[in-house]
Amino acid sequence: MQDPIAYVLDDLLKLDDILACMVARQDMISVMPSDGTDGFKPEIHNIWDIIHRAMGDVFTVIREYSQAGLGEMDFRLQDYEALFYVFPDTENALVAIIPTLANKGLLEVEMENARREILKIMEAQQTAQM
Amino acid sequence: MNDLEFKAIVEVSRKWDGEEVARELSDKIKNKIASPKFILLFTTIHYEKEFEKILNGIKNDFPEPPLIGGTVAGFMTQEGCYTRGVTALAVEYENMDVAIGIGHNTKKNPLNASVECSDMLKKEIDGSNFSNKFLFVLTSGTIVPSLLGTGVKRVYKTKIPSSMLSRLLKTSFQTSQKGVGREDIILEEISKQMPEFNIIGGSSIDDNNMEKNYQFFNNNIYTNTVICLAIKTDKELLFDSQVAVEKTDKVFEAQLSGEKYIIKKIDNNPATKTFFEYLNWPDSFMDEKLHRRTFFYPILFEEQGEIFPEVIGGLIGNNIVCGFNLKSNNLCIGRSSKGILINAIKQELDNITKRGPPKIGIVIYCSALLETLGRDFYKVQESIKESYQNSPFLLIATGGEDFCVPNKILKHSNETINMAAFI
Repeated sequence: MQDPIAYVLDDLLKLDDILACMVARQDMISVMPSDGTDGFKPEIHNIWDIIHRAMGDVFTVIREYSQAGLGEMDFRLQDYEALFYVFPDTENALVAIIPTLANKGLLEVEMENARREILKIMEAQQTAQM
Repeated sequence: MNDLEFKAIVEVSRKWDGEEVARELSDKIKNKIASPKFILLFTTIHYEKEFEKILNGIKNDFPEPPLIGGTVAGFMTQEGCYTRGVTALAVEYENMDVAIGIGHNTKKNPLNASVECSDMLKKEIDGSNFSNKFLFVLTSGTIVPSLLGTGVKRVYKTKIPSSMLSRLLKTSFQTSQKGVGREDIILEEISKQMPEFNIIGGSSIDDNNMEKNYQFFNNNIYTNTVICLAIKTDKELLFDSQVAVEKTDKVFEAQLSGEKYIIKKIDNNPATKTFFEYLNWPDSFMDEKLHRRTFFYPILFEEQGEIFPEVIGGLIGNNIVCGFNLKSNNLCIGRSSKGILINAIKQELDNITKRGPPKIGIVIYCSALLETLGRDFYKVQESIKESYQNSPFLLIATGGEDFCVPNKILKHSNETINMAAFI
């Protein structure tokens, strides 16, 4: 059965300017959209490897400071921006790659909605395991 | 008529398919309201291919009440903040008369469109004897034209004389109905036609790219129109408008072109170059991200003690193109920030909720402010929820905001927050 978090990512990926999105932590992509990297917008494929490597460095910082309340990070690489929305008290983050020319503020609202929805799913999953 | 019989709801659908959106919204409305007096419906541009299904579905379930709406950059309700989705507001109250109107070709002939719309409203609403008068206006906002055959751009480094630019923009109005929304002219004319009405409204927009926008009138879809909902009721309404910008000491004299929204010179020097010097900005800032930077530094003019912020729409050579007519040559660079925005909404809520939480509120909020706030848009929601308690509200993010209290204030501008509330 598909992870319900993947459906949240699928919804996010339907927005034109979300070129790729995932839930990830250092050295590990935890959840991808239903179609994996095939669901990413084609323009991201050329730059995916370098963005993926840069993400690894960002997660070093997230791991170090998430417990201290680090909530959000981003970096710009060539014509793209990677946004990281950290899940509180974890080393996991919702990650999205957008074009630098995108209206970032509008996308941030939907990123936040996805983050909240994923958080609810994670909490429900934790409760079910207890 | 007692308070219990005033029913108002705001509902949201996040489904993607138009038929499912219509079914979900209709069901939610039906669960709470038997026979709405009117329905306001707003969607983000993502639903462009689903408009027909959404409108037909809702009108099929609610054939009687008039429905108007259109595209907005985002919206906020008690449920959450959204820049993708569909929302509907419905009100049921016996002591209320309503009428809807539409005016076409707003960019080509804004005055004719305003009169067409007002005539339609007056025919329906003039017979009503209720004393509180409220007009909601949604006008097709700016659509960036493709000048010089280079696609849709906001920044042209090409040197182009302002006289030629004026001609190009005028031609664009007539041939393709693209250009500034001319909402200032429309608001002024509608308020002249309907002088006793309090007005709030905004400019229909897409996802802040300003490439297209749509307006809904019952189950019809239009662009380049002004649509209105007129209400006469015995229910009391409160109105408030706040500017989310502060003045700076960067004051200058502008020379405007024939089209009063184009600044060709600042302090007798080329406008763009001088504006950049005032802000100590490097030339590298002159790119397609410019409008995201100028959200924080709008141009201001004052009229009768009121501040009118204008977001810069584009730079064409050394000309600065704004979104509506500048009514003064004495201008100032404004400054906005997240703190200023949050304070402005708090002030507005203090003014509106002095007598307790309203029954329902509608907020017109500049889409530039939404872009500026990003995920902190939720902080605005927290403030409104705290003041409104459990009462419904709908905030829509538009490309410009209209506000009119008869004999006091008449204003179309950017970076403002306007609120109307039934109390």
